[in-house]
Amino acid sequence: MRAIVIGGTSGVGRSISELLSEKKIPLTIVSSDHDELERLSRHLQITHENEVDFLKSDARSPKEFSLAINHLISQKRINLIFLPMGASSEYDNGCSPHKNDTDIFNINFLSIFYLLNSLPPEIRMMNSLRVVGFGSIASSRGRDKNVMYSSAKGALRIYFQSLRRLIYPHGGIAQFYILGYVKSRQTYGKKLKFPAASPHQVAKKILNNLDNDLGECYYPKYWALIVFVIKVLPWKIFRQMKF
Amino acid sequence: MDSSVENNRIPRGAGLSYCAASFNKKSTSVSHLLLNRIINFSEDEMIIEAEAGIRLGQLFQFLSKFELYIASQPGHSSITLGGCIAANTHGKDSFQKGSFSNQVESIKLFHPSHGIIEASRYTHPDIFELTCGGFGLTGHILSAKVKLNRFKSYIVNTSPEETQGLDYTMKFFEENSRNNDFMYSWHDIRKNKDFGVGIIFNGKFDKSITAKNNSEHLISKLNPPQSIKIRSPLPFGIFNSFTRFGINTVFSLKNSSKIQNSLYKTIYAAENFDYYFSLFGTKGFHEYQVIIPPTAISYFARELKKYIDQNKILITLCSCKYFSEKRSLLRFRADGLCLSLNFPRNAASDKFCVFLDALCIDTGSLPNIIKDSRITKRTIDLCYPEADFFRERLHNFDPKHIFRSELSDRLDL
Repeated sequence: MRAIVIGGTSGVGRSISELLSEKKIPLTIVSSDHDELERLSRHLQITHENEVDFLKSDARSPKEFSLAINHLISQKRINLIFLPMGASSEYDNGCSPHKNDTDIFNINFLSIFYLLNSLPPEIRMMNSLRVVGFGSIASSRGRDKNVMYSSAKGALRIYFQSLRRLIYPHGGIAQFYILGYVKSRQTYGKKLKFPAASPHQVAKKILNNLDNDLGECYYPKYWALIVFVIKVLPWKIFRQMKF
Repeated sequence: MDSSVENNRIPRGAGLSYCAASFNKKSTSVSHLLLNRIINFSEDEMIIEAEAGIRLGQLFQFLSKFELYIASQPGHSSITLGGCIAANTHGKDSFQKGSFSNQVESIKLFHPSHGIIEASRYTHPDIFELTCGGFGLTGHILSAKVKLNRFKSYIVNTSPEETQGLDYTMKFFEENSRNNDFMYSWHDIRKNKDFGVGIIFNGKFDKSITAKNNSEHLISKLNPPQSIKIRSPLPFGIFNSFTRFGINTVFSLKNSSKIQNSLYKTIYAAENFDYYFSLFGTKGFHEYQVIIPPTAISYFARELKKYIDQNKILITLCSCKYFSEKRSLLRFRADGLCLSLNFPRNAASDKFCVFLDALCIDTGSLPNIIKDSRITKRTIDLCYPEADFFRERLHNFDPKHIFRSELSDRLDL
């Protein structure tokens, strides 16, 4: 068993890396920040005496990104793939074209699509393959904020439904977690309408359910109800909501 | 971190200081809690390098596997490494090992105007001196290399000794400092009662119990830091002379015989008394901590007793430690008896603090800046001979005064 955590240096990704190291599962961490990668992998090696290595790769360039990571996955026969990666921008308002739009789409969808779509066949057919993707409650219904971000996450959600079907015959499992508020740099110091889960809680939940074919799963669970309400709200009410 | 941004800012660790050292109306507080990784560790050289936001408990948990620990730690495991450096904290073993800055080998500091600086006693010694006990005003401490000590055991045997007063306590500390690993005292201070009667605790590692045959004392789970709501659940305080009497009686009875504790519980003793802080209610309490020079202890104790006898002051906790270090800049370190007093916050307590300030100035004592949210520039200038020297050096290093907190504004640092 060997894992790769793409976006593993911060938030939920970092917590997954820490919990995997606690369990002594050999690990590769991928991120675009070399210094952070070096520090975290060193920390995990020292504190958990775990086999940890890292790869610097930038998901803004989907083809190079998927090539580099797939090479690694194939070489190390990695069967646990965690994708807690993402990017958003305050300028993502759908009104003006911005360079960030492409980056947001590439990081949140296209890089992951390329990567998983070109998984080496020997990995794709492993019955111990586990792929965990992450969505957002922002993609439950289009708003005038995070326009590209929610579109990309929505696309990723549909892709994971396909992936689940694609790897299921070989015994592999694809899970997609739709996360509500999670404590992060973005939520720090903000007054939120609902309590934020800690990255550690999210990571623990994910690792405890790794062998369950959950499909899509909201975390914290009550977000399923909130999203349902948002989805069924009549347009006349929804258009007046500011959130 | 954007180094081009030079707006006012102040680093924040666990946010557990008794004063506003990590925030200010005009400054952005920068949390260091995610900088919590161990970067390097050498068991042979007994050195660890960790990021500033790592909590002491996390370090203890890791180091105890190698039978190592850091000396001079304050009493709560949630405090961060960077916080200990910035506040130059102390512990129950500081009489042997010196204050926390003595444990630090080097620091990595970030300042928007200077970039990243590696400072130690040998490279950039000025910045190193200024940062250890510099209240976060020299920049963001990114990481630090800290000296480690070998455990003699996981167990500390603490034997109580009766004391009749502060003078006796100081004498006892001086005479017994070589024979003990940890030393502190507790005093029951009540109106019209023999002032300073209490218990001296002598802690020694139990060498008959080695670390290897006591692995159950390894810490598997750390206590989570308490939120403000848990720390003060009551809208009002329930301390009065009756409840204080009850608590003190129970405490002295419980501690009248030899106690065996884990090293963790000995170092982080305040964690065993979390309930104590909740008894003050939302108004909270004052802690006044001061190092009294040996020659002034009798006078200090006499004046303190006189004031307490004549005024409505409820001392809920009085404890002492022994210090033997040279004074330097604004660091809380000197030769003498370190006295800590806790009392509920009210109108009478404000006057009492002013009285204590005057007594400090009068006796050449050193009040602890990091424990006091209202101490004035005047008091500090009169008690810390190097206060102006600190200001001058800080100004030379950071003429724009980018790093500012309520504490630095109040004391004009």
